[in-house]
Amino acid sequence: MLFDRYAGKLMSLCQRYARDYEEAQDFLQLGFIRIFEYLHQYRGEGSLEGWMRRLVARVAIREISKRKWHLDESSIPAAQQPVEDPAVWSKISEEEIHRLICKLPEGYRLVFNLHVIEGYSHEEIGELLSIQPSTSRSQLLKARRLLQSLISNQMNCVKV
Amino acid sequence: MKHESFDEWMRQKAGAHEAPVPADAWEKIAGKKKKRRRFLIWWWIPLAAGIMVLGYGTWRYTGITRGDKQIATADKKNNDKQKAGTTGLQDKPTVTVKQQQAMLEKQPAQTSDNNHSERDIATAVPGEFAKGKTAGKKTIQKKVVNRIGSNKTNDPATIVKAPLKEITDATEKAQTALLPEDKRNNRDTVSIQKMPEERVGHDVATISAPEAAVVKEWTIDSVYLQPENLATAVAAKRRQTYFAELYVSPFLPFQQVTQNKVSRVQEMPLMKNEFVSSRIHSKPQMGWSGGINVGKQLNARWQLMTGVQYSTFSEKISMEGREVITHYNIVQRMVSQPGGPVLVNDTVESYEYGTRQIEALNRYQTWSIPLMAGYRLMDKRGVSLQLQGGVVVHIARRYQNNIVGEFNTDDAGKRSSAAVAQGLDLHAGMRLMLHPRSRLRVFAEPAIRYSIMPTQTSDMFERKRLHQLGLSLGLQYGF
Repeated sequence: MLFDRYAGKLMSLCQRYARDYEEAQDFLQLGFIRIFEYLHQYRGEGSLEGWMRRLVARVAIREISKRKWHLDESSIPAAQQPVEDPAVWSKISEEEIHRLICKLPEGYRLVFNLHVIEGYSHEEIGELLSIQPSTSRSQLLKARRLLQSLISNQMNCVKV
Repeated sequence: MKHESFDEWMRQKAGAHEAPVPADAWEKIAGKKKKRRRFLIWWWIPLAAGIMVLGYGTWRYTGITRGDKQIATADKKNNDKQKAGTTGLQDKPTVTVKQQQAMLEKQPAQTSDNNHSERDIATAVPGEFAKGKTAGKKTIQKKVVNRIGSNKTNDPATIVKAPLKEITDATEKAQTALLPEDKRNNRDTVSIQKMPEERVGHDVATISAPEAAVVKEWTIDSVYLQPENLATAVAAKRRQTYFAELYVSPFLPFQQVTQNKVSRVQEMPLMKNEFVSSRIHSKPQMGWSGGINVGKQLNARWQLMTGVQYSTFSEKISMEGREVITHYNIVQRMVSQPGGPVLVNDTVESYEYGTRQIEALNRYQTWSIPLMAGYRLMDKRGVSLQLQGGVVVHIARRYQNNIVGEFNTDDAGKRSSAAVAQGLDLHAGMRLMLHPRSRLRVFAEPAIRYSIMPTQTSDMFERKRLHQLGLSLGLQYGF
């Protein structure tokens, strides 16, 4: 069944976009409803999972754009020097990565998710979020740095 | 690590992650899918009903108009004759019943529709009708289908339905207005009337030979087509055809379903605030609505109207629930490294628990399209009473939430959203109308609105099913 097969991955996607668990559940529900509505339009171009992910991501973005959100940088901790050791990176689990992405401020998180994980270009992100492509680029850069810093922290904390 | 490789690594890690799905997720999705289907059904029901009402109205109106044209043709012919030198119907050359019978019997093959060819001879005294009276106690009425006719349309003695002819709108409307209700629906019948002897003096009624077809129509409607009634009829009909109205309506909303649970999360720098409440008290406040309608009077009793309506009301919300405030504190921690201990930043979470009372004010502003039908029950001495019913389709709603005393106004203190909304109310009311002037009417309408499809926008916690009890006060102007 479509739901059983993809719900976990799509829930993970929704959690990365949502600000809390309840909102992620809403995104998942709306996303699946949209999937079932438009499933007949899937023409087999590309993977079904990729198509579903993009659809759910768009649903999430649409819902987020309905409420007020902003690129708030006041709560962002200073980025530390990232750990460069690949051996260290490989120790981090998918769950930890997911949790760290969710910790990113909303503006960073949206841009990071859309560009890095979903593969949207900065121009597309600009249209989706009603921001300039250059803003998207700078947000991505900062998000990347912050995430690397959080990962470094995570690794250090693990060692304590 | 370079950006590309970092991104690729993140894509793989994050893309492969699967989060636990709530156990009831599928049930909720299936439920929402059903609701959506039900919504589609509910959406089409009023639409179909509206189309049916409009269709019925149009059909009814066009039926009346078509009949009016036929009668109007008769009237016009009569007027033409008058202009040609005759002083009136009474002055026209007459033929006897026997003469007419003889004329008709000579042309049996000219009847266009034998299935309905019950031929009778029209006898009438137009002069009596001109006085607005019926032909007397001995009046005999027979129904003859209108298709009786001759191929020779100019044949004066043939009972033939007059050809349709465009006439002035005023005349047409006048004839419709002057017809009583029962006559309008029986325009396809012809009454054959025999005059009392004491009036006519003999069994032969006077009739204009060239006007036989016309007189046939006149026997039904001549009483309503007299010139002295024409101006009044035009004015009366014009008054009733189209109208526009402006109204304002204070109303009291009351809701059928109360909210069960509300949860809200606020994220602030180094702080997170979670509030969950299951004790919610809602008190809708008095609201008002106003709008403009345009409508059409289909006949003496029925009218249809539609327009635009704006309504607004507030709702006081009182919530009591558990609040958890999470503080994120950045601390420095000594970590032993191969090169020696180093200080690193770390985050420590601390929690505050408590019970919180939230007072909030929700404000709803809705744009709607009413589709209404009215049925006039009574119309006497400048006062009329009318039943109003229909549907109100909500098309857009603005929702504002304002929490009293909220310390953080950044996100949750004031929320506002405007969106296309879907909602539907059934409306029923009793309208009392006064006619202070010929075209102007004043009305008051106590009404109730029953919400059959609750309206919701994205930011609302839960769908609300709000009914309304209100009193509309307005002005109506007829064209």
